[in-house]
Amino acid sequence: MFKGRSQSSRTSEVTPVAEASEEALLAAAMQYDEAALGELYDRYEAKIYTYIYRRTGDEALAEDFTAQVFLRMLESIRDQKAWHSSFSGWLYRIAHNLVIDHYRRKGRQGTVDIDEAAPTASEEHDPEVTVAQSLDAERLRAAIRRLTDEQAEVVSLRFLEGYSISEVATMMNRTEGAIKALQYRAVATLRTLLYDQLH
Amino acid sequence: MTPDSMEDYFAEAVERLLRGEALDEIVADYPVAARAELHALLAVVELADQVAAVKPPQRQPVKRIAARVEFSRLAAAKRAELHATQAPVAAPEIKAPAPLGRVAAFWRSLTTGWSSLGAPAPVMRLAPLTLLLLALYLSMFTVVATAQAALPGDLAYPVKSWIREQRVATAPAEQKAAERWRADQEQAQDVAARAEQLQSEPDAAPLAAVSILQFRGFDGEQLLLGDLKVIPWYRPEGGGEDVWLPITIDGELQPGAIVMLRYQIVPGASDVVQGIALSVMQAPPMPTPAPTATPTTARHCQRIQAPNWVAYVVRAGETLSGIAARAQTSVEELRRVNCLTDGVLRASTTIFVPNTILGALPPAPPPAVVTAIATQAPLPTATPPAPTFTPSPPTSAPTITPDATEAQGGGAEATPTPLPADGAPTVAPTADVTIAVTPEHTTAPTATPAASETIAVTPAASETVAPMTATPNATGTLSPGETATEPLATVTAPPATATSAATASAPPAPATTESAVTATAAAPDGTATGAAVAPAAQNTVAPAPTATLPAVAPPTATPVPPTPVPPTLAPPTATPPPPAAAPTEEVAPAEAP
Repeated sequence: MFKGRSQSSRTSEVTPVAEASEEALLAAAMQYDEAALGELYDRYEAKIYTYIYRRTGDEALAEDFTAQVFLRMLESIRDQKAWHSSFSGWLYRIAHNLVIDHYRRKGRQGTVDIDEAAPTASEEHDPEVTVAQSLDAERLRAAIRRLTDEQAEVVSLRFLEGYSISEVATMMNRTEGAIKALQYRAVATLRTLLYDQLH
Repeated sequence: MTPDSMEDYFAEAVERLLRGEALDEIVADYPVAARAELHALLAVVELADQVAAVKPPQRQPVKRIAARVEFSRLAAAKRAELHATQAPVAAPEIKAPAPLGRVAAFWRSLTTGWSSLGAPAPVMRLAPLTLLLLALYLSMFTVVATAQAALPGDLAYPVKSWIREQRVATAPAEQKAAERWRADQEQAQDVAARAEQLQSEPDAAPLAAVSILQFRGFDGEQLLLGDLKVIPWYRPEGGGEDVWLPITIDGELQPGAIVMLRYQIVPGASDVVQGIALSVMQAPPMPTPAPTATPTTARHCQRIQAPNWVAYVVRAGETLSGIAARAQTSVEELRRVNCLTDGVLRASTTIFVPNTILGALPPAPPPAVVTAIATQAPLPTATPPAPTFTPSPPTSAPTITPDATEAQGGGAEATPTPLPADGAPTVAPTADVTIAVTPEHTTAPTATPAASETIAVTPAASETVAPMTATPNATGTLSPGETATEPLATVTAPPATATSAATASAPPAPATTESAVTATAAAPDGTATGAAVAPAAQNTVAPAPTATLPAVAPPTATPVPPTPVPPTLAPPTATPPPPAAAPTEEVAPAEAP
């Protein structure tokens, strides 16, 4: 049985939370079951954090937004339509929206000045390489921000997070063909943006 | 290549790239036409992959944990919310707690009763509650309204006091002192109102009441509480005319302390009351600045000249009982007033006796005395009769007075400038034994003889009477305490108005005043000097007067409570006697040291 005070009798399963299927967890989570929510949090929190970090390059921002993602999740968990297709996709979308809104508010659609770029921490010990990497990373992130919402999502999930086309299709509630098309257009645009900066 | 194909090529190529194949090798597998684009696109993907490969830095656990906690908290809140809204559904299975159930049943019965009247149910359900609240409000309102009009001795007076105390208690820190003062003032006004009321009732007995006030210091034997002067004696109900009991004091009296006082209001006495019992509730917030030791309790007996009491020189062969009989008073009374502890009465000593000894009734003490300066004028007149009596004391008094007036520089004329303080206090001239009262101020000047008299009379303000030892000189001494302290040096002591007047006698007085001063100085309550000035009128400040006496002051260092330097006392420096009128207020530029 789920640890916690769930009064709902929906789940008659008596599985430990760690092994519970996402469906069961979600069903309990809709009742704000403490154990289910905790398990979901633990399963996705790190991924969301990395995702946001890769999109922004800013640790503090990533921590902040990660917390916000899960708080927003709590607000809307009872609205099943929101996440019906894919819970993780829903979480990523929330994160994506936070990132996009953040940069839109900042008014920065283009590149970030070197001075304002978030400090980078890299395992690379060669400072030159580190700098080059951070420059590239920042350039890429900035370029991604200039894509359309969907394109950015695809690029991020596909290439930054490493999900397969079918997974991304599920998460974004699209067909695989649509995702293929999206990824092609997205990368093509990125190429233009990146080469524009270089030349 | 068709766009579609490109998409497919690209998709495929990407898969291979992500699987780890070399970029150049992949591109080589595709039609030449597509290679350039593919190469470029794949380069981008490669970059993205590299960026993705950069591990995020080690996360700070603090923020993670905080976020987790916040998440749990919100989850719990939402859970509670959910259960609350879902509860009714599960009602049958839930057992309502018994007491609430009964209340709920009662409430329901009330509301159903109302709704049976035909009113819309939801609204009527609230009717009993509304009525209850209305009744509550009205009762509170009535109580408070009644309390507002209450005076000491009324049933509702404690309520009024309580409300007042709450006001003080809830005042912000920086206004607390002002609020305390205001409350004390209001209490004094209440007392005055009641006293006035009682005066109009001939058979009225003294009324007892309890108040919370702030102790401000000593004025001779009197305690200054708030805006009230408290005599440390009271006449118990049922006791005889001459039966006086001392006040019981519980706690250490430090200036600034908040005390609860049980007191007796004397008809006609508007700001002097008889203290029955006093208990210290709260020590003063700050260390009392009083350097000198003001007597914490009136253990030290000080001779206070009551209104209608005069100085009398004991002749050889006279006895206390004889004098008492002639003066229509009692031996105990004489003893008490004059602080005579041993049985020996030496000839040529001066004691205070009721002026009935003169055989003629003194003119009724000017009611003004109690009230205000106005009385001043009458006072002098009153005193004249006394002057006849002056012979007793060192005649100097009379002599002094003239000087005084001169000293006054004509201020004496002004003397009517009743001691500012006077106005108020002095207790019912009715000369209850209350000693304090003497409106000294009145002594103001002009009536030189009066002066001497006044001096004797006024004591009240100048508690300093104690220094009285100097009193013989006293005319000045009257104010002795006060005046002496004052300007002694300046002599002119103009401002001190009345008291000053006394001192005015200054020139000659100076000598005397000096002694007086010293006397006062001796007086433990430095306040005397200052106090004198600070005539009753002054708010508790009395002590300040001492300030005025800078010259004399040293002794005066009246520990007196920090009360502001009594305005009235013209600081000695202020020599130029302001027109007597300079009521203390103005006078006291507060030089007071």
